[in-house]
Amino acid sequence: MQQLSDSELLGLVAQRDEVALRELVERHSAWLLLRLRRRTPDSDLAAEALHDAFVAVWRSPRSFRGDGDVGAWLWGIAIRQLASRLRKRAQPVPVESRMLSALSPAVRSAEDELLVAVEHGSVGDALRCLSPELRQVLQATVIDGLSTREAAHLLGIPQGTVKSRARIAKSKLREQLISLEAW
Amino acid sequence: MSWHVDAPVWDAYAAGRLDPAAELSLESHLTGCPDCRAAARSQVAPAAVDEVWSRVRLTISAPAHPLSQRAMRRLGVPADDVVVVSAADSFMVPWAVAVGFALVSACVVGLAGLGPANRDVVFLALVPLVPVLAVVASYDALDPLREVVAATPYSKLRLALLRATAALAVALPATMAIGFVVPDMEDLALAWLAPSLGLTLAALVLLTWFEAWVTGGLVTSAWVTVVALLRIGDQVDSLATPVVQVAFLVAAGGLSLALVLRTSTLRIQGGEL
Amino acid sequence: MTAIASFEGVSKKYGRAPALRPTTLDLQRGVVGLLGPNGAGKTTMLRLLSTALPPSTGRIVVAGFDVTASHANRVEARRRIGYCPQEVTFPRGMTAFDFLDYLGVLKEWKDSSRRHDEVQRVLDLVHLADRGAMKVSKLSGGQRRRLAIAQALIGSPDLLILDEPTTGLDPEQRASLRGLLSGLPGTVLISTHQTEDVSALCDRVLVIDAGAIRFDGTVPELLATAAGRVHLGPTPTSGAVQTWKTGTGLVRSVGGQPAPDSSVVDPSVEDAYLLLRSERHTPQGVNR
Repeated sequence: MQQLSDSELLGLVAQRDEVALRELVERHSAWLLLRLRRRTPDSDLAAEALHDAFVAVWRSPRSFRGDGDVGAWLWGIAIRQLASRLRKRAQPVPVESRMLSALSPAVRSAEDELLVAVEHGSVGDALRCLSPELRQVLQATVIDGLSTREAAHLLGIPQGTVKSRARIAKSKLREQLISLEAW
Repeated sequence: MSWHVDAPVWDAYAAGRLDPAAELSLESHLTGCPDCRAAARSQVAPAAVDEVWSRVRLTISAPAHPLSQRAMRRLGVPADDVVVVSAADSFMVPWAVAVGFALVSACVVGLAGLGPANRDVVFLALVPLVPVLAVVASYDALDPLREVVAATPYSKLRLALLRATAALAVALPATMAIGFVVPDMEDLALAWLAPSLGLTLAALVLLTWFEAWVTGGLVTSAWVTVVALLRIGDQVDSLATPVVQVAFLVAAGGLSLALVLRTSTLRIQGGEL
Repeated sequence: MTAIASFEGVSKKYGRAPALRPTTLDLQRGVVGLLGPNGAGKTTMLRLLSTALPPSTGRIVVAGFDVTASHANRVEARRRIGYCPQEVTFPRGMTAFDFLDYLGVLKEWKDSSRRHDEVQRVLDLVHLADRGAMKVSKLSGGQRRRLAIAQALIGSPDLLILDEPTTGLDPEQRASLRGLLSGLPGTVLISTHQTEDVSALCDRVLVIDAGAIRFDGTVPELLATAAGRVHLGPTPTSGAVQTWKTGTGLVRSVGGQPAPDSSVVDPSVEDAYLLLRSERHTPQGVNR
């Protein structure tokens, strides 16, 4: 079981193999939990979102498209479960399998690609100039790949605010990058 | 990749001490880097992962509720009764027996080419027995788990009634339909209900003494004999008269009382309640 | 020690044939093994004790409730009994979890979340924790056997009655079942043909034959009945109950007159059982 790849494990999960699901849980729980906890101060809620995510995987393992990274797909499910839990704290709304299949590697714009390549110094410097509110929105929409609506649920702010902050953040980033390059 | 996330970096990330840009770059780096994800394990207590797994396992192995069960829940049936009714075999067998018998009755009455008088006779002889067979088939004699169930504290009468109710919920509409679908049966379409109630209760009382198959045989043959005798005396139509109908209802009341008495004083028996 | 269950002059007849002759017996804490050939009355005894079957005569008391007296007493007793018959036919289409959930309801676990926890606990006990979501029809024979045992464990009964629990299990599964049973706090009554189960597990042995108890005592007491009566030598002893050639080429003889060149060896539970069976007319052992 431990030698199998993530997508092979998903194949076994589709055949109702609990041991395979367990291996996925063992493999991915730690980093997913840490990352979820960075999105909510409530670590119980993070654990619940992770639980919902693996249950969703069990119910529709075939919604993963054979290409792409299983880890990224899992994160996409987990962060949406968290957003949905935050929206209705009492009653989680299951993420539909149709949506799960849409989660496979997100198509990013060239601008986003640039942003994702933050390990290259200049973008990092530019990011540092953004306020925490603007950064949060960028994180949710670009790194986590959430829609405006989902990001609004996750951050607990209106959709309009998400849109405007994202716009401001991106233009500020652009300005910063241009000025940095010119420099 | 030019770099990897090691334990100290995860440490800083988990504590929120990482520089915002570094945090973003770490998160985007995680896509497609199993080694760095694995390094996160040192930051999370194994118990937390075990907890996630044990809760996931419980959720996925708890029965998923099919449509029929959710419908029952919505109608106000208690959750534990739903579990009992849904135990596949015990639900399907009585259902199949009742519906199958109802269909056979319908075919005999509708298609056998009988004269109108004989049609009434066959209708009144067979149709009231549909619920009786549903109840008898619901009883523990046909339960594959009979022996296991016998040693549980759950009331066997309650079990039989729950299953019978579930079977009747499907069988009764089917039986009703016979009266309305078969031509020229409208006058008797509801006349069978009172006799059927009486016969079903009689079967339940007999079940406290006899095995299910004996009970089914006794009630069925007794009723068919009665109807046949009425036919010989040309009295079949009397079954539909108000007096006889009320008499059946009174008998049903008496039998319910007998059932309550029997169940409260029952000693060990083949038909243990 | 107080008895968790007792038989007072209990007998059972099917028609005219006696399945169990009048029997008086007390069961205390610990694992009790019921040993006997097919048709000896083992299953009848277990079914009587489990309240699945009424006796023809006598009184059966479980956890202080006379189950022969009233229905209310039987219900009380059943709350304290876990019973796994020899053959369990599973309803079609159920998953392992569904099956245990259903039995949980029948054992009066009304609260569904507590019941689900209990189901998961017993699945863990029989090492089926990962098979809960699997259809029973997809389980192997050994797994089904363990599932049947799991339902008897629901609610940690004071009196656990298992009819041939080790049949169909491989050696590992048998050993793990022994570990499970020996760790239970209450009374466990198991029937078995397998004499190794008895010597490995049981605090007390009952040997039953033709509807009557032939021996009642501890494993050492059972072995003592065969002391000095099992021999190993080049030739079989005359009048032996059983003889067979062992791997070393010598002949092991149970009972009979030993030849001068044979030596006495330590008896096994099986030897003692075979000897008891050959002397079916003279009851042995300590009657408690």
